[in-house]
Parts: sequence; C-alpha cells; structure tokens
Amino acid sequence: MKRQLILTLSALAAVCQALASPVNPLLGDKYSLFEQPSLVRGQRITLGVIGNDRDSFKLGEYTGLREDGVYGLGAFFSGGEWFESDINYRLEGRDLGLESRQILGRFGFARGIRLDVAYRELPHYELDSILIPFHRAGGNRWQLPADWVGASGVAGFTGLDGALGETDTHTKRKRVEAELLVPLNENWSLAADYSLEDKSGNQLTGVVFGVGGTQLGVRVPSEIDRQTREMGLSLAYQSGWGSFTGGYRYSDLDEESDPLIVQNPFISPAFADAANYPRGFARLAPAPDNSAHVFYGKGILRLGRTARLSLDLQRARHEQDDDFLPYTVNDGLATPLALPAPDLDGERVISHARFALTVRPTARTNLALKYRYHDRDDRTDRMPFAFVLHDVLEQGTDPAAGDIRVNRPYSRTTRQLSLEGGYRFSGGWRLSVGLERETVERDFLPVDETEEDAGHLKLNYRLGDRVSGWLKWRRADRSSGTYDSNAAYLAGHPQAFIDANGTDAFVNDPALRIFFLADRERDQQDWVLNWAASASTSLALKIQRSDDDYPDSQFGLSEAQRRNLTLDASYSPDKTFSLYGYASRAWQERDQGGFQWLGFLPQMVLPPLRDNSANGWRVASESRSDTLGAGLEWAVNNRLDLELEYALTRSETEYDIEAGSALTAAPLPDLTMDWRDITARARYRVREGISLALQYRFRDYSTDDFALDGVAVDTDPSVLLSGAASPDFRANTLVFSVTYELR
Amino acid sequence: MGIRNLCRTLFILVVALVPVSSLAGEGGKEADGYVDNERQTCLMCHNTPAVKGVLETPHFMSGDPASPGERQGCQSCHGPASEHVASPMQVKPMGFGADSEIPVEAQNTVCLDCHESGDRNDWHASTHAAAGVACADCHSVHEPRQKALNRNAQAGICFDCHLDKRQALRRRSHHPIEEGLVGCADCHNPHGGSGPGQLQAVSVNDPCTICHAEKRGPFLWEHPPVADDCTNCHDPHGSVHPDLLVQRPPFLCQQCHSESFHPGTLRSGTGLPGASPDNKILGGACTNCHSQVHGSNHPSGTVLSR
Repeated sequence: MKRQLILTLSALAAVCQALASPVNPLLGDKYSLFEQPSLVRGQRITLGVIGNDRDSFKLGEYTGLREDGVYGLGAFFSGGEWFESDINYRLEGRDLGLESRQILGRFGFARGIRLDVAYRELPHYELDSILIPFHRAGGNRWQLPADWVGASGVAGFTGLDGALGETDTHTKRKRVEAELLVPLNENWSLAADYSLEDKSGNQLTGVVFGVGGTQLGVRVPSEIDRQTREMGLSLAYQSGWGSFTGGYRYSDLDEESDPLIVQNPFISPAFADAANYPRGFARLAPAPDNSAHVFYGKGILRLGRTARLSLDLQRARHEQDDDFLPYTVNDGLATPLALPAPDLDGERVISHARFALTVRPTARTNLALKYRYHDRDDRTDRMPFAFVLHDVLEQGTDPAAGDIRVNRPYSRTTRQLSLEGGYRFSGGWRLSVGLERETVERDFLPVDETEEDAGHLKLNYRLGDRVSGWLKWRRADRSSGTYDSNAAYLAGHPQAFIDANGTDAFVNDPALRIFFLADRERDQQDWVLNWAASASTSLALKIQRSDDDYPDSQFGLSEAQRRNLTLDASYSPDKTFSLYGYASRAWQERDQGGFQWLGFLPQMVLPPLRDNSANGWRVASESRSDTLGAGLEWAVNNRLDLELEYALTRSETEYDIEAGSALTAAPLPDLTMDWRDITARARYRVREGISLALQYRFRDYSTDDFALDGVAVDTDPSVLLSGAASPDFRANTLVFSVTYELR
Repeated sequence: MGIRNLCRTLFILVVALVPVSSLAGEGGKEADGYVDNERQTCLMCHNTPAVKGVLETPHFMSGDPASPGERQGCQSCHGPASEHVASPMQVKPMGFGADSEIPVEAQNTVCLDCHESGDRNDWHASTHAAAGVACADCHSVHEPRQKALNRNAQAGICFDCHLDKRQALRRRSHHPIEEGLVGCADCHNPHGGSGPGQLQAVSVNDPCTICHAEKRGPFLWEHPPVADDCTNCHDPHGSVHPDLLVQRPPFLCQQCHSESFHPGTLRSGTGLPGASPDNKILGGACTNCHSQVHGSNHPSGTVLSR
C-alpha cells in the first residue's frame, strides 16, 4: 500500500511538473496555500490551478507568472520510513508548476548518517519590450541588418524604425545541492556538500564606442551562461570541553558566455576608419573563470559553565588565469605591441582570524572581548597595458603621453577590537556598554589607513508586566589622516608619464573625499517600545535614526541620514483569531556636491576657481517609503480557516538641485512607486486528510522613473537606449487547490 | 587613558574573570528526580495539540539516541519532573520563551547543551546573545513546522524585531525574500558569525559572491569600492533605486568621481526628453558606457567599459 502511495505521489508530481510550462507561473508571491512542512512523517499532496489576468514581467519577477491564463500547480510531501526499512526520509516538492519549483529531500540512515538533497529553480524576469536594431549572429555576437545606414549620431539612423526588434531580459538559476553528514562516533563527524548552479539568460549591457567629446553607445541584451560549483569537506569534533570544526571549501565559476561583440552602428570622423560602420565592432570581456580555495578551522572552548572562548581561522585563495582578449576586436587599430602577459594570473590571498572570549563572572553580568583580523592581499602582478580605447582609436604606445595604464590590485587589512559588558538588573532591566576600535589599511587609494573608534550604550527596560523595550545610542568617529588625491594617479600611470606631467597631477578634484575613506562622524539611536495593553492586545513602536556626517568632504558625499519609524499592533483574544496592523515610514537623505569644469584644465589650479562657486553644484536627495499593512487570521471552526491581508507601500524620491550661476539646471521629477496587495485565503477541511483552499490576490503596482519613462530608443542623440518603460500592472490572481493528507 | 590602554586593561580583567565565571553558573541539571515513563505521565495533563506537536519533530525522532525523546523525554529539556508531578501547582517545570520566569541565559543553556557546536559556535559572542534573545524567541520546538528552519517563512521570525527590514523588502528592488526563495539565513547566521552583521561568511563580500561569483575576481581592472565592500553601493535588503543601489547613477558615481568634463558635470532635468536628452541620466546613466563597474578583465578595460 505504501509503495503504491509513493508511486502515485511520484506520478502526480511528474504530472505537476508537466503542467509547468516554462511560460506560466504563480500564485501571487506567497505560497501559503501550500503547507510549509518540516514534518517528519506522513504523506501529503496538493494539486491546484491558478488563473491570472495580466501579462507582466514585474508580476512574475521571481516566479515566472508573467502571462495571463490558467495553469496547474502542485506540491507534495512524503516522510516516514523508506519501505519499512531503517531509513527515515522526507521528500517535499514546492511550487511545482511555477518556475520557482523546488524539490527537497532528507534521508536518515543508521548511525545518524544523513543525506540532504535539493533541486531549486529561481527565475528573475527584469525588463520586457526592449527594442534593439541588432540581431544575434551566433553566440553573443550582435549585428545590424544589411541595409543599416550608419551615421554620426542616433538622429541619422534613418533605418532604425524598420530594424527594431523586440526582446527582453531575464535570467534563470537551476541549482542542485547535496549534503552528507556522517557521525563517526560519539564525538567525531564528517560532513561533505556539493552544489552546482547553472545560470542562463541575458542582461542589458551598455557598449560605448565613443571617446572624449564623442561618446556614442548602444545597449544590448548580453548573453549569460555560467556555472558555479561549490563543494566542501569538514571534520567536526564535539565533547564536553568544546567543539571544533575544520575543513576545506572550493568554489569555482565557469563562465561559458562568449565575449559580447557588437557591431558599431556609428560613423564618426573621430574614430579610426577601421572602427566605423560597417567594419567596426566592439568586444567586451566576459567575467573571468575564477576559483576560491578556503581552508578553515573554528572551535569553541568551554571554560567552566559560563565562560567561552571561540576561535575562527581561515586562509583563502582566489585566483583566475583566463587568457586575455586582444586589445581590440578591430584589426588594424592595435600596433604589434604585445600584451605584457597571456593572462592575469590573478591571485588574492585572504587571511582571517577572529577570537571571542565571553565570561559571566556573576549570573547577572556578562563581558565579551572580541578581536578580528581580516587581510585581503591581492598578489596579482602589476603590468603596463597600452590600451585601445573603446575599440575606436588606434593604439598609442607612448608612456609619456598617457597611453599606458598600470593595473592596481587593491589590498585591504582590517583589525577590529571590541569590548562589551552588560549587567542584568532585577525586574528585567539590563544595561550594556561597548567600545570598539577598527583600523583599515588600503593601498593605491588616497588614504592609507583609517581609524574608527566607536562606543555604544544600550538599556533594556521593563515597566511592570506590560511595558518593555530598549534604548540604544552608538557613536563612531572615523579619521583618515592625510588624503592624497593623486594616489590613484601615481599608481596607475608609468613613471615616464608622471615625469612628464608632474607628481601633483591627479584625476579627482582634491576637494572630493571618497566617502568610504573620508573622515566620518556617525550617530545612531534606536528606541523600541513594546506595550502589552491587555492580555490580547499588544503594540510595538520602533524608531531608528542614523546620521553620517563627512566634515571634510566639500565634494562627493557629505551627509547621509536614515530614519525609520514603525508601529505594530496586534489583537488576539484567543488562539483562533488574530488581527494585526503595521505602519512604517523610512527616510533616506543624501547630500553631495560637485564642481563642473568642461575643459582640459589641470585640476591642481582648481582651488582658486572653486572659491567662485559659479561652477559648483549640490544635489540633495530624499527618499520616503511608507508601508501600511493589516490582516486577520481566523480559525472559524475546526474546519474553516480564513485569512485576509492588505499591504500598501508608497515610496517617493525627490531631488533638490542647487546649481552655481554658471550652470544650467532644471528640477528632476520625483521617482515614485505604489504597490498595493490585497490577499484573501480560505482553507476548508472537508474531512480528516482532505482540505480545499482558495486564494484571491489583487496586486496593483506602478512606478515613475525619469530614466525610463518617455525615453524611446532614439531619444538620446548619442546612445541607442533600450526603450524599456518602468513597470506598471494591475493583476487579479485566483488559486484553487485540493490537499490530500495521510498521516 | 587612551582606548588602547583601556582595551589592554579590560582584556586582562576579562581573562582574569574566567576562573571566577566557572563558579557563577545557573546551576546544572539535577542528577535525579526524573520520573519514569515520562511521555505518558506528561501527556496525562499536557495533552493539547500545541504540546503534542513536539512528538512530530526531530526532537522525538525514534531510534536516534541523541534525540531528547530517546533520553529523558520531555524532562530532557524541562528538567526533572518528579516534584512537579507530586505538586503540580506548586512546583513548575523549566519553562521557555518570553513568559518564562527563568533567565534567558539559563533557558539557552538547555538548548546549547546539545547545540553549541558548528554554526552555533559563536552564539555566546553574538549580537543576539548580547541582546538577551532566547532560543525560544525564534524556535518553536513543539511546532512540527518551524518557521525559523524554513526558507519560505523564516523572514517572518526575523521581522518580529527587525521591523525596518520588513519595510525594506517592499521596495522596488529587493532580493526575493518575501517571495520565499531566499531566506535571511542564506546570508546571516543568527547564532553569531565571524564576519560583520552576523553574516555567515567572514566578510561582507563573501556571501554576495556565493550567488554572484562572476563579481568575485580578481580582475585586471578592479573598482575600489567593489573590492572594498559591496554595501558601499548596494543595500541588500531593498532599495527605491534599481539593482539594490543606495543611490541612482549618475549621483551614486558622483559621490566618488569629480573630474573635468563629464564626471563632474551637473546632471538635472535639463537632460530629460523634451529638453536636451542626456545619456548620463537616462537609461543606465553612467553604466550606458561604464558597464563593467564590478571589474574588467579586458586589457583595454581601464575605464571599466570593456
């Protein structure tokens, strides 16, 4: 009987899979019609249908439900003893019929041996209705129609309308995983895991042909085809005095996409003749195949009942040796100057150590001391490259003329030390304090070392039986010492160029501070209040505030602020009924400045010019996101469960622009998003083991985005854009399912 | 006293307190006081579905000598029950969760007696431990369908406290967490980790490159903020801007780039359709040309466009 049931379940699962056309999908975004089991034993199968009345990539972004129609759905669970053997198993299928389908399994053998297996798919639908004049000519090569008329700008493309074809961007991940745990004896165990993920699809990629004042470009859906493998082997020991795990992990990326090659649609007098239409192409390098080897050991030592010492050590190596592409795809642009090496032979070594010691000298007191060292040492060789810029200019080889660049393999070393202590008072009050110090060393950047000192204070409080919460304040000051704006310039050019142009030249304005290197004062405050107004009613309030100030940053990011306000409320008079609601507002503000100079002026003379603010500008952005939600869950009787849920999110980003008198500026429209969901679910138990479920979901989603809306393929005079609009949809989804359960 | 001296002093103090702390435990389990045939005994009174659900969980997996069910049954966690059986109203067994009168540390000790290993090695030094979070605040061990262990439902547990993250996931750009395809624990280790933000990995970039391995490099032409920390440009919990960006280009890029000509040029509404369309603000903005912002392996890719 059991065997028959399993066979039946397998057959039904196969039917569900068969029903899952690659172009139909989902159920809304939530799967609550289907149980989320971590059951140990029993059999269950759910079959259903879903109807959707709207075509929309955004609706099916992560599920594939992007076209209207009626589709089949399924889920199953089976667990217990495998054919009356000593093997325990659990098999579970989720989202069968959707493109986010998953099949998970766990098998438990004698002596505690355990095998987990999983198959998952994860789609991502991004942009539909992309328009391009190119067609694929094998692999990742994009060509124009034979009758294309080249021109020096988009306006001259007289054959554009007739050449446009529609496409989209999307990706799909398919992943298989397996994990084996083998207890060797009471103290030792061995674990191994393996995963393989295949990602395919495409992504919109910008390709530039222009240089300097002639910046011309196109956007095309570049192919994605890559595999990522992960595997690990570890040995663990556990006993009364502590535990230890040591192991090795390996990961690699196999990039199977061809280099993106795109025919140049432009004809420009600024380009070498071999680079213009129809002869000219551009070629982009795909991500290099890479691998990571990680050796690690981590353990904990129990020092008495309440003291613990943990240690985490890791040594990793990231490497890649993909062969370099030639300097350009266009024959005739490159001189016979050879590449300095056939490949990068890139190597990055990561050393990591961290220890934490915690003690509880009394039952009410706790202390923690932590130290973390993390070093990422990029050992890749530095080499000079005489580049061909954007596949359109002939290769320059004069080291004194700026035609050669040297790569900068960035390294970084972080050291963190923190001390924390806490005391638990009677009545549920608790006071915690902490001090932290962090130093970060980097190379090839304007700042060699930053130091940050931080401290925090946190008070957990309880007022009677009904009110509790906590207050937290944190302050962090980062100082960066000397800021050498020309550090990247010096490291990125050959000595001959520096000799010819001086060591004081630089690329970025000296008044700009790169924000992750700059002096920073950070203030953060959190306040949480929980109020159990009655045995059935509770309220929670959370207020968060974070202010980053960059006091020395005249240009670049100078301020960043975050605020969050959230209010939660719930009412649950008994276990059969609950009502909940929440409201939140999040603000994000960023303030930055810049200096516009349209000339070949050595930036070193800018400071006097900068005093005249005619060319200066500032942009302040403020984003507000409001979310309002409410719902109820009601077990009407022992047969019928009802759920109702409403959620609304509205976000708005405003840009406030201040321009100097020599500049021309106009306001930017607000960026907005409105997202409204209404979901109603009902589950009815017909009899023991059989239940019906019905779900209705309404989704209303709209956005305004000035970078996309009203922007056609030929809107910009220099770049062929994609013509994609920001997504808007309004969809109704209805799901009906039957669940059969045998315990 | 400088912070270094203070740290040094406190280090000595903390180490010195180790032997003291071994005397300050919450008290171990009693060696006796257990009742026999406990499962039936307990279920005589505690016979509700909410309690009995534990029998369907791995804690009561038959045949597994490590499971509490195969050892002292309910008493494995709730402590010896003989006094409670004799005086049910006067003597209460060990309780768990927010309503328990037992200190959080003592509650957690019961769980950690078996589970303090592997990914839970760092629990004692974790943010959650310091905040007084009890294991039972997230784990409902009597529930056969534990949300905390289920990728589809796990975020709901985290959102009980991390209310701001729930809000972030409803922004225009977000990881498919609400959709149930990515779980909080795919990146974070709520039991403490060696990296920042209780991440599973030892650095911020490591968990990102598990799924986005093509951005791991090393590249010939690296982009410093990428190599430094992915969160310089991305907010992994959700953003009002595309691609989880903390700001949209060109303004994002101009936070670090102010040079002659186009990098320092003010972009505004003058670049929109109807005025003088500007490819530095339309479409992908800066990435219309500099599409390889995560690094390039092309010998001519010095400005991250190849």
